[in-house]
Amino acid sequence: MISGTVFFVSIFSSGTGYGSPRAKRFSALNSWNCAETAGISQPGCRQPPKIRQTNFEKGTMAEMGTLFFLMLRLAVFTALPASALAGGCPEIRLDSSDGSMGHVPMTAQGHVGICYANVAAQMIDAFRFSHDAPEGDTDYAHISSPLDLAVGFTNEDAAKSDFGYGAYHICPVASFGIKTGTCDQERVRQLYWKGEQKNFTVSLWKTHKALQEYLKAHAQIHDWEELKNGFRASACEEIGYLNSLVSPAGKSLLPGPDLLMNALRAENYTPAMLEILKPVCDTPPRHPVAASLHCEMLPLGKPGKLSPVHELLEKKNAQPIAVKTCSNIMTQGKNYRGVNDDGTFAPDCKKHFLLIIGQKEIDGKCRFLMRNSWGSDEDGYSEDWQPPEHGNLWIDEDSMAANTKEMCSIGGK
Amino acid sequence: MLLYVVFGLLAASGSDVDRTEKLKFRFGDHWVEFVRQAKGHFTVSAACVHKSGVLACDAYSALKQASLRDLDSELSGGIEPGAVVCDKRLKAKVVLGVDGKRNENSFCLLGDGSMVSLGGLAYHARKNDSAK
Repeated sequence: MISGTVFFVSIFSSGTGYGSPRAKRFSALNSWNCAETAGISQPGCRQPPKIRQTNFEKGTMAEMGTLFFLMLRLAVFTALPASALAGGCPEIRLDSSDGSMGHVPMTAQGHVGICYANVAAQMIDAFRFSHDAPEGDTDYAHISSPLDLAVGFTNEDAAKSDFGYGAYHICPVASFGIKTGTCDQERVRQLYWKGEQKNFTVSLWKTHKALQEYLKAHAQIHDWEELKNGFRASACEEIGYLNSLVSPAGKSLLPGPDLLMNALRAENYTPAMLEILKPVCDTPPRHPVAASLHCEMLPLGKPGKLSPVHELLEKKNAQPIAVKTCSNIMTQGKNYRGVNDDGTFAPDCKKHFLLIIGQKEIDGKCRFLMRNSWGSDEDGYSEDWQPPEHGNLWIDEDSMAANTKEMCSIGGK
Repeated sequence: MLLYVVFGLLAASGSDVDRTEKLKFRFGDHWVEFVRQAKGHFTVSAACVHKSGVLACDAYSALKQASLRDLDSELSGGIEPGAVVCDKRLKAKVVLGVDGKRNENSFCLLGDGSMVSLGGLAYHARKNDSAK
């Protein structure tokens, strides 16, 4: 069926764009003489036989011919998926078993705002799993940890201390992962008890905020020891909670109270997170990523289209494409417009990053398969994009174009 | 003609029955079973389903309390809306599960130990908010 589709697409869609008139595509079918169709005389073309016909025969044959071609058209339309007729939107899925995303599982960011790190980590893994050594590898069990990537990048980019609320560009984050290698997400998950690693992160952040408030309220105290002891007493519940979240195996890895307090004193909880992640991410060493891998920004294309996407998805061994958009498009549906005419985000836009991992035509429109980072859950999305596929959504190209501000992709040099 | 009637009846009966799917997620080193009700737009701990088939647990009750009202400013950095409902509205814990294919999914862990999917919480929060 697929090969048949490709065959028909190659015949009918050559030289035609997305949404071209069907009559033009099928004109060759109606013509008996290929030379006449082309408007030139071509050697080797089969000429129509010259047969003398009666008026009755002429009429009957004309009717039969019309009927034949109508049936042929019907058969072709029935056999072809709509996407094949679209020409510019043949069905492509990078999450199929032989696609670059075929071994990249869904991630869930919960209540930590590190969508950028989820997208960057998935792009790195897609490249790794779809290339042979030395550029790539088939260690499918090693899924790059978004949390480790977010903490490491934020630590390097000292200007940004709240990694949980980062509004980064994807390429610098992906480039950081390429430079340092990535940590195994399974090891990061095992560090924490009852799957509450995200809660741990947030709790640490709350402790940090509590310290800030404490320091503000006790600005007259200049003795750090006095401050520390006072805070320890006031925040013991929070610190105790932090300890309760850590698994028995993780307890030995948890930084001592002083280290934690010093990190909090610096009004930046990233160093504490680094200390927590260090033992599991540095031993064994981080998984290397090919140095030849690079990330590049892409042009958006003309209004209403994300033109470069089609070309990139149709490339051999295509890689996912990251888009900076508004999460509202997923929850509020096709009528939401998050990017203004001047290219700025609308005030109500909830900035988010997604990956484009496929395309196909649905109800006469080209849709992109969007990989989100809200887990495999299928609930909570707009009725316009139903049904989701294990957390992936089929969203109209024009809706995505109206809500996309940046695009980027990674590839080998 | 008869075939159309049969197909029509089958389709009608199918649409009235909610499709229930069983799912399993790993939390740390133990597995928890869930039931997903596609028509109800939620996934809750299998333990919520009593012998009579009735759903009764804190996670199921949380769907009725879910709301995103006045929490718009919390939705930054691509945070899951259901996580905000869980954390801010229900004062419960967001936990992370992993299925057999290493796909992650986040849940809200309620006081009685039952869990509900964050997507389900977000769906019902919007539904509850639009009904008020």
